[in-house]
Amino acid sequence: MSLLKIENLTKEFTVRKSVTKGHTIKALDNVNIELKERELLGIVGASGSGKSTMARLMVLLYRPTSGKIIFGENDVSKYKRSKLKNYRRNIQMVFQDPYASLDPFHNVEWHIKRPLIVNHYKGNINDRIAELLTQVKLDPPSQFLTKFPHQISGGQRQRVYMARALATEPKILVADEPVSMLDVSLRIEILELLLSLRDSLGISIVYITHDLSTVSMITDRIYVLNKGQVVESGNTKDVIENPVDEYTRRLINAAPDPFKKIEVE
Amino acid sequence: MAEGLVVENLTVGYHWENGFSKIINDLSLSIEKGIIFGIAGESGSGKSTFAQSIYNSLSYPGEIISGKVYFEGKDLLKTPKNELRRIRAVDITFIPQAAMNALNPVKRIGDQFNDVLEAHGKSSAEYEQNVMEVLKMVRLPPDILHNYPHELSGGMRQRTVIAMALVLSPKLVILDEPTTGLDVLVEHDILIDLKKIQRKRGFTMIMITHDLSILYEISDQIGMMYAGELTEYGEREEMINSSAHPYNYLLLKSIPRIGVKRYSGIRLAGNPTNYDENSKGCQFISRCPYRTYECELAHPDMNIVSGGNHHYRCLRYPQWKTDEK
Repeated sequence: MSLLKIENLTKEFTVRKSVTKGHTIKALDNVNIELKERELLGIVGASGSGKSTMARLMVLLYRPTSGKIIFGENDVSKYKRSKLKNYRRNIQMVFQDPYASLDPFHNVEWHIKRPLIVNHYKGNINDRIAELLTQVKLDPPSQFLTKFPHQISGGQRQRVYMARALATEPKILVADEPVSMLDVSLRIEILELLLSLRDSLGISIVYITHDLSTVSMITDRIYVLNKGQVVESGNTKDVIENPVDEYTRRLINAAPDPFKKIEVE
Repeated sequence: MAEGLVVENLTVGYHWENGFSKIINDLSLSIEKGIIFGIAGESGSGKSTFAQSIYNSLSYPGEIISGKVYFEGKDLLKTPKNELRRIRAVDITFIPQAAMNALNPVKRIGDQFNDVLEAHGKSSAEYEQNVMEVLKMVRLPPDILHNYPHELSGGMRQRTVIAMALVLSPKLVILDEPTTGLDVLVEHDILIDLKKIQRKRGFTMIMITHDLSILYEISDQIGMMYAGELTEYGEREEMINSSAHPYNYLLLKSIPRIGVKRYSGIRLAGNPTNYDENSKGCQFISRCPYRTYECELAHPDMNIVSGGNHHYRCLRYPQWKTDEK
């Protein structure tokens, strides 16, 4: 069953040269994407392909120019105020740069407490914070509560941010390049955390990246975006083994692999 | 075998409010002429400090405590400032991290090329041929000389910086994270071009990055840095096929690859580099799954795998290999 459905979505940005002159750029052009329940979905593309715009549209940080975003049965694309807040409780986003997404003036506890307070959490807040930190494998939680972002590593920061995102008990997590800023040995742990969150919490995850090797490791299905259009989609294994589109082939060829050596004449 | 660069017992550190901490500890390395030598390390391993040290461009609070860096028989660390100024860009050049953002935003690219030439007393007319040649090498159209940096894409700016570094045909090129922040497709193209240029011109290239995949793709020889030391270095093929140090072995295992099943054996603990100045034993011990009591007692020396150029710093080689299940 589909959880989130993007239908004929187009997003245009206006580039102004002056007050009167300007033209529009189509960041996304008539895109259709379907996210199923308990699915790990990959959206792949090089820079400028519109993949981050897609992420921002999904959580309604941007509004579509045309098209629908259907969550459950309702088109959420024009939601405002309480309806929007309610929708955002169900869909949360993890950003690329864990060094920028946490507030350097506040400790870990504060970051996770905020969404709980804002959403009027009914139970014991401290227990819930501990539970969330355990979920993202920051164990024991007491060791991290009073830490400030600069005292923990990039991978741990990304985990704190994920705990914060999970605080509202979302049904969907949108992760935009969550590992590209991290060291190799930390990367794999975050990817495995995504897998385990999907399995243990039953949430759907949209994983957005330019790196096909990590996509092939964790996702069930992928969409390949190029210049705002879906050029290829399907089962991850099928797409990577038998790419139909030329652009997908280029991406696969460029995916970093230590066992591949660049040979020049 | 001629040496492109020889580093002897280099020790470097930084002054903090609580004293001084060593970042690079007694590092020795000799790099052959005309090859691509890749240095890999995680954040905090000291790889960028190493790059700045061998270029002798480290400034306070960083300080080079001891060591020698020989380039063509000269110790770069003892060379006076004005002479360093003369040989930089001419004989040896360094492209630091995020150099593409260091282009002057209010000057045309062509004028910035002229700045480089004039700083070394060369006339731009005389070197026009060279400029055109390096631009062709990095596959940029000559028109970009009339552009400002903001009119170029990230990849083009990176190519511009590489071209600028090569215009006086240096013999040694040091690159620190040359493709970080670039798109995969652009990154792949630049790596191929870099290797082509290196092969054509035959200079020695030292590339430093945290991205093990691209390093193994491009390098002839590879060195792994951990907590300010080289844990292992040698020919790429030996490093990849028969690692002598668990760090390199486990890192390679942890890289996701297309069409390869996920590795489920012993794993590298994900806590970042932790340099312990007081430790008597191996620096890698806290993350090493193969450690035994002997690793705590003595600091491992650099050893050579018999009959080759493959160096490693591990007490338990080759026993640890049989621990692997």
